[in-house]
Amino acid sequence: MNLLSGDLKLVLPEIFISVTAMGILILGTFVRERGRTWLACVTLSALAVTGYYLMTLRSNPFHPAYSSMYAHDGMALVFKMLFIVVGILAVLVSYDFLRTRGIPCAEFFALILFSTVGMMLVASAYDFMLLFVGLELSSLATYILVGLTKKDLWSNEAAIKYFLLSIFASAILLFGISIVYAATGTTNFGEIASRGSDLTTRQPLAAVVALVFLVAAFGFKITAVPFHMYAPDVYQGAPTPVTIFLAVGPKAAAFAGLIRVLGAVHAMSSDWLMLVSALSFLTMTVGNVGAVLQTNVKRMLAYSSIAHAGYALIGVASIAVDDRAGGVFPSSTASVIFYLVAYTIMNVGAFSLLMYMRRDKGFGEDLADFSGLARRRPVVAAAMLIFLLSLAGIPPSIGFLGKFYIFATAVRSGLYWLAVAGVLNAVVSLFYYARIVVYMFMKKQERDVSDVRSFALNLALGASAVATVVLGIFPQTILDVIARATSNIFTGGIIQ
Amino acid sequence: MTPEILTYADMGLKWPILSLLTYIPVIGAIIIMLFLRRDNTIRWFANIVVLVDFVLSLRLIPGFIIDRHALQFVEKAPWIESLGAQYFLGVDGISILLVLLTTFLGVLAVLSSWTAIQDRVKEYYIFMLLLQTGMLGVFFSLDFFLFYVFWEIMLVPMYFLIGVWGGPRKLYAAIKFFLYTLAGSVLMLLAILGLYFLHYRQTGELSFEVMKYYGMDIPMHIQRWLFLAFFVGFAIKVPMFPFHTWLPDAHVEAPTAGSVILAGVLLKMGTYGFVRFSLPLFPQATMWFLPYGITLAVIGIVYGALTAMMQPDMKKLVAYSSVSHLGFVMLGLFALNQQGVEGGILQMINHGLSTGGLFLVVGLIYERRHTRMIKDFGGLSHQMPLYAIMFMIITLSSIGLPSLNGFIGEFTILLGGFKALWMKPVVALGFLPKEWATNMSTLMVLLATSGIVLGAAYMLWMYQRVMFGKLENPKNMELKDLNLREVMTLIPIIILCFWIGIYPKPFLRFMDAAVMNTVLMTNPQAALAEMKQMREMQMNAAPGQGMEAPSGMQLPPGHPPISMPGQHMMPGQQSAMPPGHPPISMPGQTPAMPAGHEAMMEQFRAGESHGMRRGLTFMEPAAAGHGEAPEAAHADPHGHSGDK
Repeated sequence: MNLLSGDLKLVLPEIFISVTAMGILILGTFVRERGRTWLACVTLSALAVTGYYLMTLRSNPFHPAYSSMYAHDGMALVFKMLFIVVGILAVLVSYDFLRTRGIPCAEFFALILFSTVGMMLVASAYDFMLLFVGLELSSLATYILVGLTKKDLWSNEAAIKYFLLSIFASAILLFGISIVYAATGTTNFGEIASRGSDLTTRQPLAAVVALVFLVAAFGFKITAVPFHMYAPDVYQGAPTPVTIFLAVGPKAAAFAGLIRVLGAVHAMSSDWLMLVSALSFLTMTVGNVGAVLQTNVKRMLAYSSIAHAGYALIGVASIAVDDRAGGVFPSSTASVIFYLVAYTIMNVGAFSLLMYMRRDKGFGEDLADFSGLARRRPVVAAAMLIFLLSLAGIPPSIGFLGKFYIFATAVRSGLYWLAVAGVLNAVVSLFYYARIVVYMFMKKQERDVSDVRSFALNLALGASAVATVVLGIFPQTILDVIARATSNIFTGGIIQ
Repeated sequence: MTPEILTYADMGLKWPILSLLTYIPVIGAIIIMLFLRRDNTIRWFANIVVLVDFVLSLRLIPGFIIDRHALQFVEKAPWIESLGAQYFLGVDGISILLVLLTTFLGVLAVLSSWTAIQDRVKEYYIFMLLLQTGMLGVFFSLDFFLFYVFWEIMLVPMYFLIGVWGGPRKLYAAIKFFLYTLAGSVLMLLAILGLYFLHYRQTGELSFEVMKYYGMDIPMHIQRWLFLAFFVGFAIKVPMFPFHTWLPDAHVEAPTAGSVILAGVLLKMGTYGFVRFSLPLFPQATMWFLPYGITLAVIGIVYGALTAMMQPDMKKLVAYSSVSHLGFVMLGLFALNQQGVEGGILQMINHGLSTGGLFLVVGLIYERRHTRMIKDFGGLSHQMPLYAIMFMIITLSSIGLPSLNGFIGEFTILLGGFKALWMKPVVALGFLPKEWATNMSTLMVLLATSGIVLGAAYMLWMYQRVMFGKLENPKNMELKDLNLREVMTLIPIIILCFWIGIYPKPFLRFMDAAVMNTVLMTNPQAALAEMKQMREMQMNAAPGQGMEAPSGMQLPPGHPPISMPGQHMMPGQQSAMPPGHPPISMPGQTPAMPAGHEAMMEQFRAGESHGMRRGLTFMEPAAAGHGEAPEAAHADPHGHSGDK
């Protein structure tokens, strides 16, 4: 039997990346720091090859593999490609950072790759077991990454906080899973979806409790309010490249997991609309109001990323009423995925700006450090302007399209109040994004900061700036990919 | 009621002229950004770019079809197919004057910045040019998605112009401007989305095309919400009382050119939005909102004028006068008849010229003295005679002196206002006794008229305090009179002020057909009553004779000749111009019969009008002998007649 036929072909990307990660760990002990460029190249090319392979895979039709544990569908593919892009960008932005901070780069790259594998498993999970394994794999790697600057107290604090709370969330998730298992006798999404409806009649309370626990656990991963408390501290304390990775990668993975789980338990308890809507409203509002109060840009962006999770949750909430609306307009799931793509591109850009200025021993991350940036480095400032406008949802940018799409989904699904709350939040968000603009463009230099020049960083910044604008004007290709991907996904009881 | 669409190729052009007009400034900005370094080169280059843009925009005039409502020089291509967004540009009678105003003021604003801007010259001109692109895009877009994109793009350069080159409180003013307008526009975005899905559910087609939403059957309770969302978006931009508070701040802090553009063009986007979107899309909701809209407009007129009178700062005075003037524009639009709406659009142009001119004039003195306080001046006319003359003409134009442009606009608006409101129970505010309604409406037009008097008061008073009296302040003794460049920025405005004031017909004729279409869609009762009245007057004056109004008739300036279709058609004409297929007339040539009206009446007969949906009887029984419309109304196939 041909080894590469059938199911094995589907998990080849995961296997390949895992093997590369282990190889890099081993290689790292030999080449030490001299070979950092080599290691980076190996990591990048492994990711690129995987990305290319993913593009060649066809997703039709929906295909559960490995005794229905592993879903191979469009959504999984799109999410995996997104994770690959996140991985590549994370390697690029970290390259010079690792050198100046003396962090062993083999460890760093390997951990990024392991975490990527975990996220890919989450995207493909069709069973609670695999989902949990994927989430843990991804999280374990990030715990280490957050604490990677061993002598930095902030980093240590962030790592401990993240670890404890994350473990707590995992426990909640397990508890939710166990209730579902106790009630239905299975951990498979497909079977839960088909058996779920009996449960609601037999044990309505169990269904609701399970739902609340599951949503809470994912709420932690996607930094939804009120489970967001750790995020500002962890994002601020973690080394910036790790923050970038953390803010986009695991969050997107958690969204993938959330969409799948909600689809599975939909039949069991279909009243998650209110729950997710309320989460979304709180997340947007608290995130934006929190950001307004910040003077540290990194912390501000951390709050802003909380708020963005809230916008994406609007799309998740609309999934509940998709069957009511239907039609030619792309589905709510597609809007969430598109939003996550937009979010990834612009946040990588915005966060990486934090590594352009050096002050004392660390980086210039305060608002005051940004003062006069437009004079000193007009191109960098212009790139930041693009990211900030995109984050605020001003066209022509991918951020605008993402918001547009999310609000359109909400209006179509009749979630008018959520749409109104969303757009008003966008106005609030402009206030603090504009503060950064004010410092960059309208104030004279206040602090003595030196500029960092790094080719890899420029590359990541330039690529995301160009993507922000170009995909904002010509999004058709990416919309098509997502629309095709979400046309045949498994969403359990919800008719797409 | 979809108007005819003529692409640029149909109109004999090789180049997509609207795209060229829109993107020439942004291409100029990119060239400045990448290649030019020296400040003076950049200045020359930016001036040339806006001048080229202006000259090119004049190309729109000769080919423009004025005898019927058509979207012209259209460019239409799919853009984001899965969302149904199109790249759809076009001009019609409503937008063409605003486009010309934009390119015209763009030239003046850029020219006026030559010496005023010494700091960060490169960025300044880049933002000026980007702003130009955004504004032109807004006026050209006929696809809601595209419209919204340009509408928001435009905010960014304006934010920078205020925030970087503004006065002492620039940061506050800039962010206030940005947040206010954004808050309004995001609500509008939701309303657009609401329309989009409503249209989709009715037709099964995803489309943002504005004209496709015209004549949609929107249930009243939804229409109200959508109207309100659009209203907030546009009212903030206009700005209407009580949404005006961002305006004085923005104006006072903005650099001169920014103020010119802000007053001259940006405010017009709100009023343009009402004419283009709110009125024709939501006729019933407009009717419902009318009392409140008129009341707010009149409050704006009086409040703006009174506040202006008390301002010690010239720029702030002009800013509040804008609130008052735009109150007039809104009153004209809400009159919902031909005169009112035409006057409103003309007044948008007038306000752009006069207030743009005033800001330029104030900017000139500010550049010399670095103060705008009225008390710092006095007796300037001795020192700067040329300046005093220019200032006087522009002041008078703003007041509305006959033979200058302001008069024509305000007169036409008031004519429309009186026609709609005088002794009619239009302003029936819900919380007031019903019997007050008639008096209220009458009071409204009277109050509005008083706005002209107040306008004269605050403007002349300011002029007097600045220009006349003794030249006492020693700092003013050294002031130099205007140089050639400065005169050059003002002369074109003054020429246009006189032109519109003395012979407004060419300007009004641009918009006749388009406005008539809008009025017919929003308020068919008024449009048809007017047609009928005109016809009767024609019959009395010259029975069986030509279609044009007799010379002695009380037509508003530039009013189009009005006729009833199918009546008294000369045999020769009838064969030459079959109904519904009007001929293309050469510019400057008055058509013997406005064929556009014919087409509109045809549609009425087909029972497509909103008036019929509302069950209005818009024709007296006496007219039944002349036209088939009433029968058509009774035999309305959709059965909307009783539907309220």
